[in-house]
Amino acid sequence: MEYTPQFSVVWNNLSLFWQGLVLTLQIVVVAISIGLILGILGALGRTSENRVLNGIAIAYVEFFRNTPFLIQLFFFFFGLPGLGIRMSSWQAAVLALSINFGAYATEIVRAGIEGIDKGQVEAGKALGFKPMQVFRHVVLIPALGNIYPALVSQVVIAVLFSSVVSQISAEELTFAGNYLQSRTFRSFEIYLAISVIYIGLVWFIKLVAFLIQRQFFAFTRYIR
Amino acid sequence: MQQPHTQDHAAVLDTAVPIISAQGVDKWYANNFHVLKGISLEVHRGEVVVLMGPSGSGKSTFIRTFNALEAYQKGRIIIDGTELTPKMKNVEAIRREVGMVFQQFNLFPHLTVVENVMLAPMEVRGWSKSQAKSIAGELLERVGILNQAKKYPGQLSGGQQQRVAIARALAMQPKIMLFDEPTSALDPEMVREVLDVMRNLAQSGMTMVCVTHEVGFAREVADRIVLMADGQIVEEATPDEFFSNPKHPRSQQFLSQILS
Amino acid sequence: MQDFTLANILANLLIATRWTIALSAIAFFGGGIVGFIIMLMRISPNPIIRTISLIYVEIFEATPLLMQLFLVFFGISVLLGLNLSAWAAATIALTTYSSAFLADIWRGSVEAVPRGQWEASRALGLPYIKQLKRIILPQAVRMSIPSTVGFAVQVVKGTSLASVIGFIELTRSASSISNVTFQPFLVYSMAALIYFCLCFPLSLWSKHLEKKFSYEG
Ligand SMILES: Nc1ncnc2c1ncn2[C@@H]1O[C@H](COP(=O)(O)OP(=O)(O)OP(=O)(O)O)[C@@H](O)[C@H]1O
Ligand SMILES: [Mg+2]
Repeated sequence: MEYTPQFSVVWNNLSLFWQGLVLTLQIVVVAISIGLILGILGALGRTSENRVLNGIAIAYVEFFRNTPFLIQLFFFFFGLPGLGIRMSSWQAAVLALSINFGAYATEIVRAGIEGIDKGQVEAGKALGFKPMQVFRHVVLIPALGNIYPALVSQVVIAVLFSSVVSQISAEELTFAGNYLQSRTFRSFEIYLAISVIYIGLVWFIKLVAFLIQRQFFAFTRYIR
Repeated sequence: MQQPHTQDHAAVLDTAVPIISAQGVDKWYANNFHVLKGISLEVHRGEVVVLMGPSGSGKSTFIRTFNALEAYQKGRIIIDGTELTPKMKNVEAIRREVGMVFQQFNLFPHLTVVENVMLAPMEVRGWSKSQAKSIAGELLERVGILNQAKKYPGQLSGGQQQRVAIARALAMQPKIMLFDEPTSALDPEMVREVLDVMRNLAQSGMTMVCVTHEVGFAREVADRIVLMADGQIVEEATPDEFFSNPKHPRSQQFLSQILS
Repeated sequence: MQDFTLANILANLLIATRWTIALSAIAFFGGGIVGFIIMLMRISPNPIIRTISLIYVEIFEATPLLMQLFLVFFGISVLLGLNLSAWAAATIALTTYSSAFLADIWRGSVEAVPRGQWEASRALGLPYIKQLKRIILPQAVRMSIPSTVGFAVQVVKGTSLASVIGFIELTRSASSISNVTFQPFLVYSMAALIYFCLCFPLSLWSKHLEKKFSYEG
């Protein structure tokens, strides 16, 4: 039995893919925004002198980095209702993705904080900068420059992980593919097309990230 | 300790009043290490004081109290008529008038050379960009780095970076310049270019306190040499006296080490 | 309805954990072999070979693992008229996934070997293969061990996605058990804990190695 791929199933359903892509982007953008806040809070806890805060931050990071995202997702969506916490699949998807991103972001931001050059902070103070000015003019940009590559990688991983939320029927790109697949049985064409869309999205993010890097963090090339 | 703000201006401007006055300063680090032991020092306008002493004697700690980068627990430090107290509201106002050059340069890596020099005048003094730029240009010219103005610090040699750091501090038009071993992190061939800039600065009448072990520089430029050991000043003398006829045994020991 | 005790659930989960471990090991070694070849291509002096391997890495690092599983399990089966087992599909997908990341990690380590080492070994008259084998790789391998161990954690976690195509491992087993016991909170918590017990030691080990090597220089 010879199978001939027919990509008309892709061309005829472009709007479905497009909707899926938009939903994926929504989930990812919301999750990354929340995750970044979690990451900053986590890093503050992780670098604080307070033992309790420090312990909570460590537990958070280690637990979520050492368990699969799928299990985390199932736990939030299927497990939490057992405690009376019910959410829609979209909410569970965003929550799981945010918390997962936040755990990695915590470590990234922490590295950024620890990488701040004390000498430069002192130079800022010695020039008469107020603490907020030191943060804004001396600390912020170099720290962002240092953590930027790791953050971009993590954003890419979040995009790839977002496909997993299709498993709790959160609607996004992979879900759209599964839906179409179940109606047409054109699995090869559909999953190939979806893969290409993800690859395009990831490459686009990397390109934008590169341009931003060149525009704002060009100096990082010269830091030994 | 709360009194000095009532000083009248006539006294502050009097040239007989030292611009830096440390009186019986004691400092302990958090681990109870007694790093400064009742130190007193006066520096007058236009004076160049070179601070020497063995490693760990507290030289850095001492000069860093002059711009409140280090707090102290006992005694008084008065900079240009204002006493530095733990509770003072506006340390920035003091720091504006006191420039500092560090051993490790500490240039801002994300700003170009000229931006490094322009930043503080614009943000702290509120100068316009064009004002800041023209001053930065003059200063970079003066330290011989104008042709590198658009580069990032990471692209310069150590000696060049240190000269930029001096220009950056000078751009605030400080009344006092502090130098903490400005040439110790440099390769030997770059020491000279930095010392030349410092020498010119001294000749222009700047008040300077320099921690340095560059004997040639100290001999030629310093008005006074101050030798510290174990958190105390053990000898104060003119360079001639100090190098030819050190009085204190710690000075003799120190000199025999650095001159050998 | 069958009565599930806590011990009962744990026992069932642990039985399934064997397959998580087995799949992780196979994928890691499969990915290691393919990844090593891709890495050699990435550092090849030949620009065409370099580009091909670069594209390989960029494609597989930019596709969700879930999509790779679907493509192999549903797509390739249909396309080639094969009936791939979940085992086979999971092995293939996890191998390609791991190979891309490992190739990238290892290339990084090779490039971190100072230029002078290449020059010195060339100056000694060693041919390319010997330069690699005797001088460069031994140093690169040392440097890459911490991140390689770190990546093993990603592989273990990645195997959970094989549950989606019906491969019965820890996650799949947890789903089934929670469906019969109606205790998803308990079951998924236990499954998470088991994963944690697998991954956390690897993470710690990776961190430990990183520290150790950075001290030894
Ligand atoms: N933050 C700190 N906490 C505790 N002890 C400190 C701290 N900073 C410095 N010290 C100690 O205080 C002493 C004086 O240090 P300081 O840096 O002032 O010496 P120094 O004379 O500048 O020495 P060097 O020539 O090595 O620069 C040293 O013994 C040092 O170990
Ligand atoms: Mg010092």
